[in-house]
Amino acid sequence: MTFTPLPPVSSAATRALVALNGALLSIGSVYFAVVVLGALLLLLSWATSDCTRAMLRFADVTTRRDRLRVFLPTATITFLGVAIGLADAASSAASSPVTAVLARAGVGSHGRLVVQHRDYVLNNHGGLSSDTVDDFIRSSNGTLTPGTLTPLRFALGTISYPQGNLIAPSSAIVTVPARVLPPELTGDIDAPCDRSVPVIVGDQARLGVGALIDIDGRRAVVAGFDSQLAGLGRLLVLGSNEQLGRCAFPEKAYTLVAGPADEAGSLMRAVTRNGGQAELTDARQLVEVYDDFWQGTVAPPEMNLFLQILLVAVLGSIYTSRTRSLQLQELRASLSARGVPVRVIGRASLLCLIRDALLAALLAIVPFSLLTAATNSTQFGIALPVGVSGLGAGLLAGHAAMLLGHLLGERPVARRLDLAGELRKAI
Amino acid sequence: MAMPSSGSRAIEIKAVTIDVEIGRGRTLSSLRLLEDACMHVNRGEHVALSGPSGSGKTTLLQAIAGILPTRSKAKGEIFVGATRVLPSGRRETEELRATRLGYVAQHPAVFGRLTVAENVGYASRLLGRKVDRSAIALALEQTGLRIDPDRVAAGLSGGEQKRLALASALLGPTAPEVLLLDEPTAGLHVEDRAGLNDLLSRLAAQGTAVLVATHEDTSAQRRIAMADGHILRSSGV
Repeated sequence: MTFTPLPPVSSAATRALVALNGALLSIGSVYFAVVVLGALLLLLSWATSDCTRAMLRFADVTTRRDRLRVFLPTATITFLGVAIGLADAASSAASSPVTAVLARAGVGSHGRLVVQHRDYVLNNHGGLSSDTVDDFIRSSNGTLTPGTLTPLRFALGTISYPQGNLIAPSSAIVTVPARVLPPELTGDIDAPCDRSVPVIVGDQARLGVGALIDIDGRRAVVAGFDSQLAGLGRLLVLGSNEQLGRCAFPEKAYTLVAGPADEAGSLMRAVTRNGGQAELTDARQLVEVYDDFWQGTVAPPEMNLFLQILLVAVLGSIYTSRTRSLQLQELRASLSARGVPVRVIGRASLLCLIRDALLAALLAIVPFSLLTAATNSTQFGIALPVGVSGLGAGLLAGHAAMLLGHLLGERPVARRLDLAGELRKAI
Repeated sequence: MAMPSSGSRAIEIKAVTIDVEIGRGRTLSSLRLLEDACMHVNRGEHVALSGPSGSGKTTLLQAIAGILPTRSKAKGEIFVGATRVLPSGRRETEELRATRLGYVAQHPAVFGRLTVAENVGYASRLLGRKVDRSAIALALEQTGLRIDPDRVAAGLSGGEQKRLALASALLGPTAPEVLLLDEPTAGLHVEDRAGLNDLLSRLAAQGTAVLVATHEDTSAQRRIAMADGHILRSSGV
């Protein structure tokens, strides 16, 4: 199924970012465990080793602890985590509206669908029409009824909300038979088309019942809401075949029929016999294609946010690490003059970084979880809980930024230590 | 790597020349900090290095401690006891400073966020040594620093800071064989100066070779005069 998103996005870059996000999430749980284990080991070492206690004070022996060193990573982890959570929601919950629609049509993920084309080409005018379905029902000699087959029509259109002066391009518009919708949400199915067509929308649109929306220039009225239709940043509008399909549906639509798995083969034969191009497929394939579509189009804003935060975090981390490292040069020189090996000083510096990273992780967990849930809720209308993998992924990205800052900011300065020159200065 | 001279020599410097590069690109030039320096300090000897600013006293002390400026070239040989310091590697000189040689810079580092006792023992703790309070108390007593060891070090006077740095240098598995001090009495009151000189003489009497760079009168047994990177003469005081 080829959707044509508006505005167009760079699919390759998006998919790479989605893959990165997925990789972070896939090892998030393991990393979270590593962080917990690392914190326990550090605590144990702190409790039992005087050397560790001395090393952990390394960065603070001359000056008061720089709060930025902990708060910057805390903010980094929080915001990166939120971005990852957003992208996770965009990825994992992208197909929820389609799943919801299929569920309304009585098709689970193991159901079969007759589709028009191998590549699910949306906007392809295949031969699968209501008449075809009706022909098939008639030819089944009473085995099938309109109630056991559910024709669905998909299209992408631009929805605008005059009230909010908002425009949502590439919104999914779906129609199903009125019989699968609650009567109070469909109204009079024989009403003339010059009246506003009742539709159901995802509740993230925050529109009231009776609000007018515009579907590709045709007027519709919000009749109800469905939280499962939250279209991840883009509206999913659901209406009846009898009203929306007849009066306001985009001309270029994609039709499929959902039905019992054991009758799907007969249905396909009936379609092809009547001259239509059709193929039998699983319902979950439609879900996957829809997922794929959202990952290539909806994710970019969230992924861009992820990239921007990561970039700022790395640059900020490099700056603070470099500043701190410059402040510590005289301390390094002083300790080196007392025979403390450079490698021990480096180890102490790294241990302080690990301590800061663990502290930042601890401080970030609560705001990160709350902010991610809140952002997902407002952005998508889906209050997805933040799981351990999401937490771990946020920590991993934040800690990676800190490590980069350490490698690019602190270490180069430490390596340039002019011991003789520093010892001539006053601390 | 045996020291070729007398076994009583704690420090032996043979024809040491140190040049340092200054500037970059077209402005790159070379500055000679030390030239053909030869001297020695015996065990238990208290020696003063004197000379005007820029004469090479600090460079000489740092070279003995194995601390050379970056972008420098050094020739000659330096031995501390039987250990060759020049030419040598970083690890050898770090090991030397950690175990047998104490170096107190002109502006000693005081870790203002630590207590006096923590200051004295901090480097040793980083080295993984067990530091007990009695050893710290002894080091502080040796230097005559009679202040509360649990007091935060920030705000110590200049004299107290120098005694504190000296106490840190004295704290180790054993008393250092060699003690190098750069202008330890600069800026001190007369009483503090006298007290510190007495302390250095006592340490020398206990067998430590003490080499002090100074502009001032000292209780040193011998004075070595320097000027423009050259050792001019050595004389008893």
